[in-house]
Amino acid sequence: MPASSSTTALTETLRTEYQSTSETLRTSFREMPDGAELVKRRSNLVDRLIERLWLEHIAPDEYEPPGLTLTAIGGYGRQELFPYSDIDLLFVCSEASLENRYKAAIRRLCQDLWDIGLRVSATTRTVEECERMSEENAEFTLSLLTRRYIAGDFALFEELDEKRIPGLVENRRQVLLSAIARLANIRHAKFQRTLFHLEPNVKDGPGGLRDFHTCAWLAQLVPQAASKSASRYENNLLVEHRSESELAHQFLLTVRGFLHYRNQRDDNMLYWQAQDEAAAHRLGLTEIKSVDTARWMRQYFRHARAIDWLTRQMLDEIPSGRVSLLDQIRQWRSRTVLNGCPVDNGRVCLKSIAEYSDPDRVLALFEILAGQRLQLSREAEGHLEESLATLAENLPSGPALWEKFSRILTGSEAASALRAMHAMGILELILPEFHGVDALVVRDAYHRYTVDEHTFLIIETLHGLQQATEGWEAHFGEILREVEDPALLYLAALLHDTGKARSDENHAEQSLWIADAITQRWQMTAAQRDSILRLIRQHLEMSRALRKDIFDTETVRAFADLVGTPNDLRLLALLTYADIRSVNPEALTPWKAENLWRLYIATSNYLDRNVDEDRIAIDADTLAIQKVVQLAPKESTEIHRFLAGLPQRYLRTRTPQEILEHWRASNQLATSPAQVWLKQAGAWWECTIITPDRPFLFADMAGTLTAWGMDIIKADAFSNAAGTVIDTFRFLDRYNTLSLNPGEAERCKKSLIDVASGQLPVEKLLDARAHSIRTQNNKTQVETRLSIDNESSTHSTILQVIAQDTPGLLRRVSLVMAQQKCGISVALIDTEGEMAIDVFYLTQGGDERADANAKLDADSLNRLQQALSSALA
Amino acid sequence: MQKIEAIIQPSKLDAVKEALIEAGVEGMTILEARGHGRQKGHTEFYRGREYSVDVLPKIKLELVIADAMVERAVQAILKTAGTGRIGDGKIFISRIDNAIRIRNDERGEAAL
Repeated sequence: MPASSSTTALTETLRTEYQSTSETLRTSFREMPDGAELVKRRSNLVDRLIERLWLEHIAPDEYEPPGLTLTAIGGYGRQELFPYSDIDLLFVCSEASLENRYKAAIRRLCQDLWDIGLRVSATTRTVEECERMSEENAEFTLSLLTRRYIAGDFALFEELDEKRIPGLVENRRQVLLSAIARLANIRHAKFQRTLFHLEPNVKDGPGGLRDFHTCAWLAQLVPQAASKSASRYENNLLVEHRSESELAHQFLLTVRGFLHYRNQRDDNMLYWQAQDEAAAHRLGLTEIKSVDTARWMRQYFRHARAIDWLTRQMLDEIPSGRVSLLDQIRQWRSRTVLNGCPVDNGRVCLKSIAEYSDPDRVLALFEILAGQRLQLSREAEGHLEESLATLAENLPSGPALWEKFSRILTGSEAASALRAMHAMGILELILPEFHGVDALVVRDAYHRYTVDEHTFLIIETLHGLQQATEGWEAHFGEILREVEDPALLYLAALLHDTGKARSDENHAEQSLWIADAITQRWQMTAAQRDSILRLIRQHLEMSRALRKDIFDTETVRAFADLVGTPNDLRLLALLTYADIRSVNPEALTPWKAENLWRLYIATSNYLDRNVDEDRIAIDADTLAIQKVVQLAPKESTEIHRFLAGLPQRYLRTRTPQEILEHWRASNQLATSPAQVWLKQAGAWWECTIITPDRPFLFADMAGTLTAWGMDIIKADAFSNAAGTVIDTFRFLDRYNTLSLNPGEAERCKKSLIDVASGQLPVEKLLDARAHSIRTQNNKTQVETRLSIDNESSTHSTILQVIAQDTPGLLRRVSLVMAQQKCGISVALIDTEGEMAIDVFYLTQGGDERADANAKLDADSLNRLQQALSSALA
Repeated sequence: MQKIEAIIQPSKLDAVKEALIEAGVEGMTILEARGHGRQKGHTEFYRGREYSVDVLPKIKLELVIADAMVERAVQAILKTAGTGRIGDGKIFISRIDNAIRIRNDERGEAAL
């Protein structure tokens, strides 16, 4: 039927009215941005337009005709109508025949709405069809949950509202809940499951409006009887989080309204320019006078975080419906207790409310989170929030706090635990300095996430390397397993960007300042502090080196000089890998990862093959030497004499206090020819021997430890120009001989002294204690490889031995060298799993030879290789 | 219009980019690449394992520019990418039939 002239006139009138009122709303929003007010007034405006068109096309009375009713659904049903949103309409008929009767009229009504300038999405169903759910179109069914009467048969609407939809919910509750969870999961995955994007989507992103709607649906669907307390739900939201999430909802409504007007379409991305404008207008901020973009975005993230938290909690609480017997058994088995903390269905809490005020128990709780894939229970979160003030007053300090915190950092799920601690405010009790990077936005084309989220991602990436079995992750996972004290790496990762709160251009220096204060406050050892501060200071250096020619020896040399030691290189390589990987999902391309790996192995090899190139000169006055001299200024000359001839590696791997001790010990050698320290350091023991050099010394020391049943995992051996040797061995006491038997440590030390000073032949010790040398079952087979490098060092022949790590291996290898009259000027011993990696700097031994202390000649090399091959066969 | 494809050392990228911009080149595509010419790779040993480096990291630059700009762009690359050693890279030049700006359907040199 062609439109009548009166219809055309009406459409014109309504269009003019719509445009005029829309402009008024726009002006009003510009002057006083209030998203909730805007969307409701737009909704009312559209209601009026539709009512007028209903009278024109459908029936002369808004409550007629019988058997047909018009319902607003979705956002329009919620009365949340944004300037460029679609209008979702549902025409409901009491029976199918009415659907045909009003089909043309409905089409004309919708056409007029389009002509007015509205985007309409209309559906017609019978009331019976509304009670059926199509799983392929779950979104439509979910839109019915927010329905509102517009016009037509009110009794029919009531039937829909009070009987049909509730009936659908009752019969298909579990399917609806699963659909909500599935849709949320898909949506969150699109945004890498984090809300901390520098250009977030305010509608679909985690913590956005769609999540708020998800919470409202869940609150409507979760049966009251299944909740812990029926009164917890009010107005479709948890009472205790209502105010926070409602405030967040208000803020997001305003932001989305702003974006619609700004973009003049339904575009919900909060791009940088939009952020600048929003901040300039103090959008959504009623109490703050002025704010820069970074601070405004912080407000955004805080609101989004509130909604995100609520959404995750509510999604986790979706009941599993009819539980099979097997599932009941699994659930029963999943209830357990870890370190006094009950765990039920993947959620952990403390045993009693009083424990939430006990910092030790709270830290123990997070240590459990860090070690297992668990979450805090809802009750635990509530109690923690309430206990913050008490916890702040009673938190441990100093080494005690570091000891507990380091256990959290080294847990495999540390990142999750840290995020939970951060969300609860616990992390800032431990590290107040971290507040500066809370939701901190640093805008550039490279970074995707806020600074705090970036930091947590780094820690997550590092822990993920432990399980990697292929690709570059597996290579870097190998490096991680060699790190001596991983807690330092994780702490450095946590602090390395904290300086961005103060300065973006020079953030490394600022982060250093912050880390220095923290490591002092926690009374960490000098070696630990040096390690962390050096890593933070240098954390951009490897990326810088990558921009040079990584196959150029000069590049590698300069980088190696900067890094200094193999352990520092490992830390830096790992932090660089994880840092780049956590900038954005595409940042660490395979190309970049490979280059990083190449630079790492080139530098590692350089560090191992150039130890004796750079020896300390007697008049050297580096910062490291100055730190030693400062401890005994009157002895400067003697200290310089002691250090002369030692490789720089020695200075870099010892603290000033240790070096001073070694110097003092070297002064005692005239009366006491061997000075030995033996101490337990964490999981291993460490012994240092200072004694004049002699043939077979290194072999004898290794043999002594072997005789005691010790498993040598690392060692280094250096000598100075005066012929004093400093040998350090790190070993595992697999059978706890030293720790469980009082006096054995002293006896072991005496053995070392007696053998070093020549008073006890090591063979006698080996024979007497043969029972201590136990065989082991090897899980992997390592092929023996000997490689000779006569080029890298100008002074020595470098021999690398790769072999199966077995008891007595180092003794056998060094004994062969001694028997072949090779002098060991440097030894670097390392173990990786069951593989021993030993590097020796060898010189021609034998004082009678004219070429003594030169590199090995071809004959000597040949004999040595044959002897070693035979010994290792 | 002509297309310049330049394979260069990654360490030269910043200098080459700057030189091209100074020469008046307004757009370019940068790709991470691996390859070798006469500069063969080598083998690294680490922890007893062999890692052969038979293709080396390179950067590939692609620019499509007006004929009048070509020589200037080539000179900019030659001056900043070269070290005099094997492995400096190569420049390839080919003719382009047309160029179209997606945003507004502008064609020919005006689209560059």
